[in-house]
Amino acid sequence: MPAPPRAPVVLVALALAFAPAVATAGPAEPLLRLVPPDTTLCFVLQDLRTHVNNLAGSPFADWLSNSPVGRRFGGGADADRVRAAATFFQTMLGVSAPDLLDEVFGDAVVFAYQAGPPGKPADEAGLILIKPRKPEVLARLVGKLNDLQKAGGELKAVREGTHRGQSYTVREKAAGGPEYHTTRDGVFAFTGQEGVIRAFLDRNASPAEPSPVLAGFRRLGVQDKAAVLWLNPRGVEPELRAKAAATADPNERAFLHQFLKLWAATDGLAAAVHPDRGLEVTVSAAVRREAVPPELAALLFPTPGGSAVWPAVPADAMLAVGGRAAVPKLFEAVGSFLPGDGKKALRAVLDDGLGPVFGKDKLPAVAKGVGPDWAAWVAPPGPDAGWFPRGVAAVRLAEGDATRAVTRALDLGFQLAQVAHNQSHPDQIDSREERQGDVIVRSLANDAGFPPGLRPCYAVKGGYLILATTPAAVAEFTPPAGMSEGANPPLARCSVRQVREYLTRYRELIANAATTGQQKPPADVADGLGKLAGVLEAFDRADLRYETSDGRVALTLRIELAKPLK
Amino acid sequence: MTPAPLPPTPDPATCSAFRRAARQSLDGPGVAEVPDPAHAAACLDCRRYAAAVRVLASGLVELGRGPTPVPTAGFADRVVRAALRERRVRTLRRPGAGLAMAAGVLVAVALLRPRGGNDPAPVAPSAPDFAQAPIPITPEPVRVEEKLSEAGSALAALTRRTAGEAVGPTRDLFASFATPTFPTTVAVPPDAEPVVEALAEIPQAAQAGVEPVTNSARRAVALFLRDTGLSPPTAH
Repeated sequence: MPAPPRAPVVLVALALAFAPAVATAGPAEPLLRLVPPDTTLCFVLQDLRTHVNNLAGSPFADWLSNSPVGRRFGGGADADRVRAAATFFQTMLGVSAPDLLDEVFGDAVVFAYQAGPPGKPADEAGLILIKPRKPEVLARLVGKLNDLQKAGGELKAVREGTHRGQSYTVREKAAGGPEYHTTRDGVFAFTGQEGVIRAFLDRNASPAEPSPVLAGFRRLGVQDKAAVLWLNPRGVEPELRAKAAATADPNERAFLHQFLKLWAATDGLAAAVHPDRGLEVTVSAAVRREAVPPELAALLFPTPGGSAVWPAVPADAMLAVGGRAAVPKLFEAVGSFLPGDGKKALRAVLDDGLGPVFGKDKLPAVAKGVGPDWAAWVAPPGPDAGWFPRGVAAVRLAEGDATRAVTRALDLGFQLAQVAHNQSHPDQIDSREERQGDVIVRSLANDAGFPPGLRPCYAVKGGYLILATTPAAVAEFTPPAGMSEGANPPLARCSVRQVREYLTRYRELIANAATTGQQKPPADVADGLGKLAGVLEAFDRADLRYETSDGRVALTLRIELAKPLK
Repeated sequence: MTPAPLPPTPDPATCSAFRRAARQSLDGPGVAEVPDPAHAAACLDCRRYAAAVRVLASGLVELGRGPTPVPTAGFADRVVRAALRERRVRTLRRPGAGLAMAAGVLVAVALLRPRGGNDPAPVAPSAPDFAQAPIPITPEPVRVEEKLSEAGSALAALTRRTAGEAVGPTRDLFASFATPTFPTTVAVPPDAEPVVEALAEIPQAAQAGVEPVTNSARRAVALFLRDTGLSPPTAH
């Protein structure tokens, strides 16, 4: 018996292993192919039917409708007006809101805006495209609308226009300009400009491949998101250049010139919202790295991996932020936006300002020795530790000159703060020093003047400079061993549930402390805190991530709600 | 003794014509048909039908004279639901009963409208008399764009109110907190002032940088609202 052929199987396996991931297409893609190629702004809503139905049947919707926030939203004169309008349209047009969602708007709606040429903003144009599931429902709706508006005197006439043998409908209105619409291959197009409807008919007859707008969406990875606002930077660049040339302020001119270089390197921007079990909000940009000014490229395209301090952030932190920021690169980036030789001028200012503090000869070592890994967080107070939350800021600090210079500067700063306070206040600050093993913790104490739980302090522990609100937070800090392979920590993280519990538990104490010496009564502030806690009840946690890949940079906020959205 | 002759049985076709004419009389003068007073005198059912039309007409006139009645919240919704329920259950078998119900609703609305000191007491409807000219009723035309614009502004107000209730407490809260003041121990050298000034102006310059984007977005939203009728049309 001959051996089975193995080569084809191997080839298929190799092909699958190296095949690029297939991008998910959204229902709006056929519409995006028909959008004008010089579109400035494009707004897309897609798969609304699925998202709205998921949301309507979700545990979150159930919870929201019974919550105080939900009851306030659903009650009142404004909500009644909206419901009355919906009832009116249902009665007059014979189609309900669920039917509209299901049969007309549920697949995809696109609004494409073209800005007018420079100096002629009124020459703008807009095009609305809808892909109805049942075109006959939309046609019937339009017919009824025409009848109603004719009877009401809003519509003078409905006639037909033609363009290269293709017809479209013209609605002559009593007030305002005419409107144009047509349906081709199941796509309904509507606009207030005749040139736009004619161009649509031309594009539909021979669509350009590839469609630049669709390509822009795909490059940013937003082609399947529920709601997207996409911007073509070329559409606003003339106005930006005119502004940079016209400004008389040298600082503004310097900033705009550097900003223009970055803008010119950007091929598309998008803001997208997408519901799943939680909610995802993304702002992304397609950037040609080679065209970005080098001092900005280092910040925009950082080394992957995130801050190594994240493993030290406690699990009960209410809010935490962390990243990697090399101080010299940060100075270069900021300096590039200043007029003249901004980098040199900024360095001179820092030398003059910080030199005496750290020692001018130690300044280069400090600049190189601080960072790049840093993180800061706020956590609820420990048991019997008052109401003031535990705050910590930790940054990597190189041994040697950098550590010595920084700790001396902090010593000086603490002493200056102590003297300045004690000169003008009856309650006195006392400086203290305590040992936690090999770690020396220096703090400022004032039982009469500071809120219970607050004792600002600093220490150097395990190669990290720690600034904290209480020595107990320094004791809890465990220097991280490092990030695990492939870890992708966030830029920021918020446990909304922890924040709400903290505000609810300590709101009276916070209100009393916040209004000390002010006219505002504590009860008002406590009430405000209670309302804030009520609003926060809808949320569980959120995190913010910064990601770069293949010429795309994206800032993504992921929100987990108290109950899932589906 | 010979019994008095029975009145002739009304012709259904005549009843149908009478009732059609009675309904058309609500459309105002100049209609093609006029209800026959002789038939009203001969037919009890049609006389009752004409009375209901007369009540309805009186109510419409009262509504037109007085201030616009303000229905309670959700009134339109309740009426539509009730009407749909009635249609499903088919309790209204007689057109006369339906008109009477509509007349009753309108009279109730007319009676329940806000009263001033000089408002006259409601007038009891008199016996039908179609020898008089039909009462001209001019129904309000439906303004779709106005309704769309109202819906748009109601939705915007609702969203603003909800956002305000969510953001307001936070904004007021942070304004309440006492701001700690720190002594300035490091003076800015004179030759560093231009750099410090330039750094301080960065937020303003950044705002200038994104202004073309926000302008475009604002214009796009305005055009979208105009094209969809969610805002009143303006001359270009």
